Amino acid sequence: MPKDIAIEVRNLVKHFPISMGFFKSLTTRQAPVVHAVDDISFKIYKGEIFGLVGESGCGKTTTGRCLINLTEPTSGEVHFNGVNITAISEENKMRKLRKNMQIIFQDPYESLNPRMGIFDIVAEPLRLQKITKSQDELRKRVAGALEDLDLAPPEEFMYRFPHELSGGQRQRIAIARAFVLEPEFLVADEPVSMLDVSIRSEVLKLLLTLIEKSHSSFLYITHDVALARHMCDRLGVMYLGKIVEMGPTEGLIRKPSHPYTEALIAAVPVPDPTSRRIEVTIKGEVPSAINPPPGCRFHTRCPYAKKICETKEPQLKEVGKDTYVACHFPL
Amino acid sequence: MSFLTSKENRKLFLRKIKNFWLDFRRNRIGLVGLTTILIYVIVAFASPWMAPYHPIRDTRLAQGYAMPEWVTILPQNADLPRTQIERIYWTVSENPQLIDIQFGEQVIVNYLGGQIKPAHVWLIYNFNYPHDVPPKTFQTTFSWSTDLVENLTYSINLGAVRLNDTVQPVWWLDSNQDGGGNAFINSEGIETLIMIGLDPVKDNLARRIFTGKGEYGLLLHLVFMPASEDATCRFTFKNGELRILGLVHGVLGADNAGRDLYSQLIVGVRISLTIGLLAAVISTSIGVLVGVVSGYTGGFVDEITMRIVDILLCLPVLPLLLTLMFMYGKSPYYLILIIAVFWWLGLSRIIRSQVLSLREMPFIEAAKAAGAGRFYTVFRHLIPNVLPVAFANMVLAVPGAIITEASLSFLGFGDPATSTWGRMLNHAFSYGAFTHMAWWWIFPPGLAIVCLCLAFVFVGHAVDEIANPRLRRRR
Amino acid sequence: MALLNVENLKMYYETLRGYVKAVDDITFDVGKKEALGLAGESGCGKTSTALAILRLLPWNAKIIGGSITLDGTDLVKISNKELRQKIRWKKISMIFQGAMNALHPIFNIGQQITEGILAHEDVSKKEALERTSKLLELVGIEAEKINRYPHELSGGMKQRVVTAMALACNPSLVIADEPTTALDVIVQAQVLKVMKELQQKLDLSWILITHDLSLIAETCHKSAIMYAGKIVEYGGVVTIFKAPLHPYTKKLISAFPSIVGSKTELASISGFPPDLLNPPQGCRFHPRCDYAKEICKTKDPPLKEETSNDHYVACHLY
Repeated sequence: MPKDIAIEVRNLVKHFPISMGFFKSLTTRQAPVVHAVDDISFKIYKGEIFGLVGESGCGKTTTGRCLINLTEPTSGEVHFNGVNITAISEENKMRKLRKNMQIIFQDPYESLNPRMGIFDIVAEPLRLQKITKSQDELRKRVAGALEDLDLAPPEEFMYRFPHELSGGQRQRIAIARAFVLEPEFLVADEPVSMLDVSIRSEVLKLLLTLIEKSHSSFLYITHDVALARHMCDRLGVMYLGKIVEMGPTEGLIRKPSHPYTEALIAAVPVPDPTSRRIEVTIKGEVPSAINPPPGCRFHTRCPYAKKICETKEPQLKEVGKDTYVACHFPL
Repeated sequence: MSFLTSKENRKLFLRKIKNFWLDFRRNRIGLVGLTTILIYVIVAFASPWMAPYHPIRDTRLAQGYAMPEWVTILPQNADLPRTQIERIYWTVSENPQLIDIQFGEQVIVNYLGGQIKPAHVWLIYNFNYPHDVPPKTFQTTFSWSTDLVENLTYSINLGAVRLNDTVQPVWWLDSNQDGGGNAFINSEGIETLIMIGLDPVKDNLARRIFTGKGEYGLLLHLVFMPASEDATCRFTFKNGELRILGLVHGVLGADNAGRDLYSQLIVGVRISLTIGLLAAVISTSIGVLVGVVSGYTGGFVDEITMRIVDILLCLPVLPLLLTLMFMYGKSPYYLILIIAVFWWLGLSRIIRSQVLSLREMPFIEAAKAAGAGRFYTVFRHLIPNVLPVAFANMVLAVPGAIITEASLSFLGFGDPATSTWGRMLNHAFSYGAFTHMAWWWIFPPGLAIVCLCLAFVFVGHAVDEIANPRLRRRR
Repeated sequence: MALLNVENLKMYYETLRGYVKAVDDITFDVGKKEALGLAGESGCGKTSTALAILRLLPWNAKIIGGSITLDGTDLVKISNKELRQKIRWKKISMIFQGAMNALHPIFNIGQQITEGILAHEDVSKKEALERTSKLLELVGIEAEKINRYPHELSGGMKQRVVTAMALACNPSLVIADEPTTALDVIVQAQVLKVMKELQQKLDLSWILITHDLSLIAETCHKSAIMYAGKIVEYGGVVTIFKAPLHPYTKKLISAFPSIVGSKTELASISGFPPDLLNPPQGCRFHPRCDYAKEICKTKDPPLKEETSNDHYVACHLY
């Protein structure tokens, strides 16, 4: 039974130009770019939590931002509920659509305006979207949003400033701000990586509760594969701007099909000194995104690389139930 | 966007101010600065009541370069005289011919003739000079007129009665016509001294008269020399004032023309504060606006703006200011405008660089994700976060403007009709305060400038400390 | 015979508002060729402990009591001069938190490592350079990179350079403070592999300070769990992870999601870490503990051996 698609990404590309000196830019014909996201396509279904995992520089953050049109893609399309949001040029139309797409950032210290009170921070989206009709309604919704995140009584928090709260509390405010509009789609970029371990699970639990309550679709971006396994229904693994593997979480984790996924999972430390896992060693470090390797981008480090991997780029192919791999020799 | 109207916004705003004050209060240097500024502000408001004299128009209040009064605390200065102003009320000393004299608002001596012998009248005004130290100058002013003069020559003689009862002539006038005028007799005036026969360079008339403390007198000797029996003459005397210029005066002494320096200082507070604050506020506003717009827009607009700023920054401000003032006038408000126009350049760069880092911040993007437009972002997010730096800079711009104004006035380019500290220093320099070692003229304006500027620097220092930690990470 | 013996160490920071009891009576030891994992969340005192061992504390930090014995010498009692000449970097060295970002941008990595060697040992420059090349090889960096500058290296390589610097004078004990926090997971695995190899090759002992319990599980032999300046549990890594005793340890372990095994519910600990100026009376964990009893609020539990195989716990439940 086909599930409803909330977000569909088609051939998304985002290149960042590198600023050169004035004279160099006159002499070189083609400006070098950072290939942050290079032609990826995937779908997120309604009500699911889709995880985008990968190491730093793989393009997951950029993808998340393109999905809600915070960054304009170089090319490609993003369809939200059937509407092609990348084609919208009118600011007003985009603004109205933003009501349904929100983002939670990584840094709880920088994602809140230090000069705004908590009430203003959480009320801002409501005010900008002109949703509430009266001050009372505004107050009620803000209080409700704060209570949903266990910041009770809300009056105690509404009149404080961000620097008076702890990291965990600030991140909860950021989440409250994202959910106060009751959006249909949310992106979270490493929402707990800057919090203490014992606080993480509380924040994540609240997040899960909210997602369930609102039936919203969620894109969870993280480099912590173990956490992604815990939170997400489906995973997409990115490497150097490409999606190398995609599929349901448990299947992907238990039986990875792409060598990179295998290496990634093997490298994650386990809080169990007796577990013996396969030690997969891959050499070297992630190549530069300015000049990605030709053919399969992973071939420079892949222990199973063959001749064809150096020249021909593998496409994302379905290898199992809803599982896709971009590899010439999937495991 | 309701700004201060809702209860929430009011509460948050008040808390912000309270937090700021709590932080500021901890900084002792800042408090010292703030108190000093408050004192200056109160003085500026109260200056019409605090300044006893007009700073420019009230001259001859004391001897030129008179020291402040409080130097009399020291024993060697204890006897220095203050300015003594005596309204002259004549009494009859001798009137052998019993000429009719009317006393009242004016003194009218009515000679009605009746004989051919000369008639004399001596009117005297006794006063006490309580110092052993003689004054250097005294001045007598009065209005006189003679009318109904017929067949007669009259002589008006003004003299001073010494302690030993000798009379020192001071001034005289002979005529046989109707006459009158406002006499201004300056004991140091060259005409006076030559008339009496003293050497203008070496002799001092006041010294010749005043030899110690005691009762002195001012003697008005009128001589009527009739040509016939029916000669008449009516002599009117009014508004007589004897002013013995003191060697000490007021709180801060006097300048070369006897103007009160304390009044000049007090009046200067207003001008300096006004110029300083206005120039700072205007330049800060321009600097913030340009910096924010340039930093946020980026691209071509940013490049062009910054190149313009670069070019303008290279211009030498003071010479340009002097030229502009020379061409367009010397009003102090014009000065404010010119200072503001040049000061915003430096601030715009600072603000721009802060905006460059601010606009990458997640909370700006979160606002964008919620549907914020560019204007909203600039006014609701960027400017409030840029304000602490702008405020700190503005507080430091005030002393800059004050010193610029003082420099210009000192160089002589200020408005001569406005009394500012710079003008005070200019006059001190030009009119010989340094040769006279008149420290009470030289130090106070300089100290006033320094203290006010230091106060602003202290406050700016304290505000700066508060401005930065908020943006710093707390882990 | 243990290499390093820390007994009843107390180190407080003196502030205007009073003493911040950062390290309050902790006891542990590190044997030869042993790796000890010092675990805990931010603010629990683990970095302060490391700094106290090397006496690299700020001016307002005072060691109030206790002893740190290295090969018979009490490091608390010796003079600054002796500590600097004989102990620091020669017997004990440290990889600081975020050190890879603290590499000097103007000098190449060869110069930075030789600087360390030349500062402590009387050798010629040539010899120092030779040793530097060997060190780089040891940590897995190609010798020709000796003239590279820090900004030309990746994060993982920078961390290895810093490790090489710590090994410059052949210490017996290396303290690594959060060596892999800023690194990607694959690079982290590589760096940890290097550390494990070094331990074998050089007879090194390690103290690994981290908040990530999984790292300790993978690399260390012993572990001490710290909370609010105190050690709440201490013992072999297997016993602690397989059979944790202290409520805090139990919750902390289950707060880490695991990539193997079945999906478990992540545990969370309510409340906040305590203010070390005025820590709670009695057991410092009692406000957040699910099993807190009356005695926990008044009496501070001492670290006692619970079972016979060197497993200590500080809790009134036992």
